[in-house]
Amino acid sequence: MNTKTLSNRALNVLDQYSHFSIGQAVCSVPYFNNKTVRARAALRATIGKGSPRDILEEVQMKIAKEHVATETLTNESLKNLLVDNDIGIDCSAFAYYILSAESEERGKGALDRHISFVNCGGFIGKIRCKIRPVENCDVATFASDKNSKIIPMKEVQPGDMITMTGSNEGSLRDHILVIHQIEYQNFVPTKVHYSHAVAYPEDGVYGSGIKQGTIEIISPDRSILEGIWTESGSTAAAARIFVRAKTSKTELRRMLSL
Amino acid sequence: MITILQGTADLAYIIGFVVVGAIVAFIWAPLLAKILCRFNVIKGAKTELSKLGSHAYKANTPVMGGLLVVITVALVAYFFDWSRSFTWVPIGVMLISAALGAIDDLMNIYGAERRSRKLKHVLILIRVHHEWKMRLWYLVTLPWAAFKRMSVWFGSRTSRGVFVHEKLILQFVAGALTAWWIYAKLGPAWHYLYFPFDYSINAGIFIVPIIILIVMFTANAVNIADGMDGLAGGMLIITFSALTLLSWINGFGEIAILNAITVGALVAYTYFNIKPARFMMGDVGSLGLGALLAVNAMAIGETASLFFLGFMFYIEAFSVVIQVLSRYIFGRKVFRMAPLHHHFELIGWSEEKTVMRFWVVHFMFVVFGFWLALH
Repeated sequence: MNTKTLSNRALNVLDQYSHFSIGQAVCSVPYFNNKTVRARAALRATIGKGSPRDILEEVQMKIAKEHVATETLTNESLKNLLVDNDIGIDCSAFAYYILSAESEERGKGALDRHISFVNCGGFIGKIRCKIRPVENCDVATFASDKNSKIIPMKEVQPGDMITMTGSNEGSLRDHILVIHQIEYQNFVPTKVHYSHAVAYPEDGVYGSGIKQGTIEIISPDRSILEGIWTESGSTAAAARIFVRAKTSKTELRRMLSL
Repeated sequence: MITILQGTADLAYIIGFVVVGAIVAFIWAPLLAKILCRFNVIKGAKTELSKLGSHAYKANTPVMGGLLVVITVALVAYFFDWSRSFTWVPIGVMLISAALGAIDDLMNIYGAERRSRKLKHVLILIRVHHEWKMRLWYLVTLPWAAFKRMSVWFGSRTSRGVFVHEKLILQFVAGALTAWWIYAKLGPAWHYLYFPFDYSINAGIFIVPIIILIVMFTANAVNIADGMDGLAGGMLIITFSALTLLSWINGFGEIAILNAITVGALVAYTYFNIKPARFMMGDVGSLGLGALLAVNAMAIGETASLFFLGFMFYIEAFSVVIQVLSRYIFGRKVFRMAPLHHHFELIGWSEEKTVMRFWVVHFMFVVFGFWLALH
């Protein structure tokens, strides 16, 4: 058995989100979707679109303003601080920064150079997307044929993504998972490791964040939905994302630029 | 260059007013501190914006210490430098701005929480309010509601104090008074913008909006810079000292005396404002002195040099403008925190180091501005 992973640069970005640390305290960056508050023209870090550095700087500023001693921060209090100040990340921004790091590592430059922003029409829209690429790169943009192509399961590679769009249940938003590692047996993919930023109802206010899971591939010729999905080590934990995948238009895609 | 020969005075006489201003301010400063403490004129933990480590004590430090300078300047000038031609308007503008600052300070301390309705809510009220009179009222006042909401776009949040739009209106009045005085009363020589090396532009009527803008911006710039113990006070001493000399060199004796009194009062104020401060300037002092700085510089024909004479104040103000624009346009911060002095504090400079370095940099640029003004 052998494995393939994203580049260290992209994995480092992933790690900074999943093990966000200040002093001794470590937590995963919580999920935050701006569609719940609809803040406009706000800081990226406070609308779920911040890079790890943006988030770190914002948290450091909050810590200074709130006069919190860094050494007294615990994992729990750090998470609370992030959640209480609306600092978090949504699924598409999480995917954006990881894929952008991967793109840069492969010598192709940042992702915004290659993305066609499908939601940005007209002159003003184009300027808006140029200035704020992350904010305008949603799941629909990733899943657009202008930016990515559907690939068969047997060709899956790290850096591919699983997009879930057009859910049958109106309340569910589009979602995206990033594949960061693949396990192979005789050069045939057997297990896909994915990461995503998500908030499940059972997570409560302070439990959301970056989650990682695997999809055991029964047969490379079958759909990804026919694999065995596990999250945080159990299939039960993956039930919600699996149901979501089943009720949506779920596709395994690869960025054209990668 | 504008010169009013009949206004000239002996330099020693002018410097004497530095001493007079300082003595008067020193005499009643303890009384002011007592009064401010007696009436509990403190910001309190809720409204003290900066809780940075060493700032914690500031929540209990009295504000409105700027009254020391404003009242001393107004009183001493009234008794020794009361000139209808040259000191009425600068003092009047200072008092208007200071009054605005005082209202803001007092509302921040004693006032109730104020909120401004979103435009969307006002539009809904116009449609659904059960009283037709109120619906009409909301409709008639809709443009005002829209103007109020503009302040939120500029980063102002609802609080206890004066809203940004209210401040802007009152500062506009102060600016307009200055513009009327300079344009209509001082004469055609003040319609020119004088630049170094004998270059000048006749701005004509356009000098009016320029003056209003400069007065409003400078008042706010000093207000923004007043965020650390001794920072604004020390820099204002440097600026007003340069203005005193320039007024004297340009032949404006009355304004030179006014500036000298201000320097003296500021020395006393800064003595008590050095960390740990006995009291803080508050908007009453910063807005008043900012307006006075702008008026006095323009009255002696040094509009072009004003940027360097108030260098760090403008840099602090621009840091806020840049931060707000960057946040709105790019969704990122340029500085860790605005205004600039908080940025340096967050990157690890102590308050004392930040303040003293700002003094030094400010001094260098004021000297440069002074040199430019002499050409």
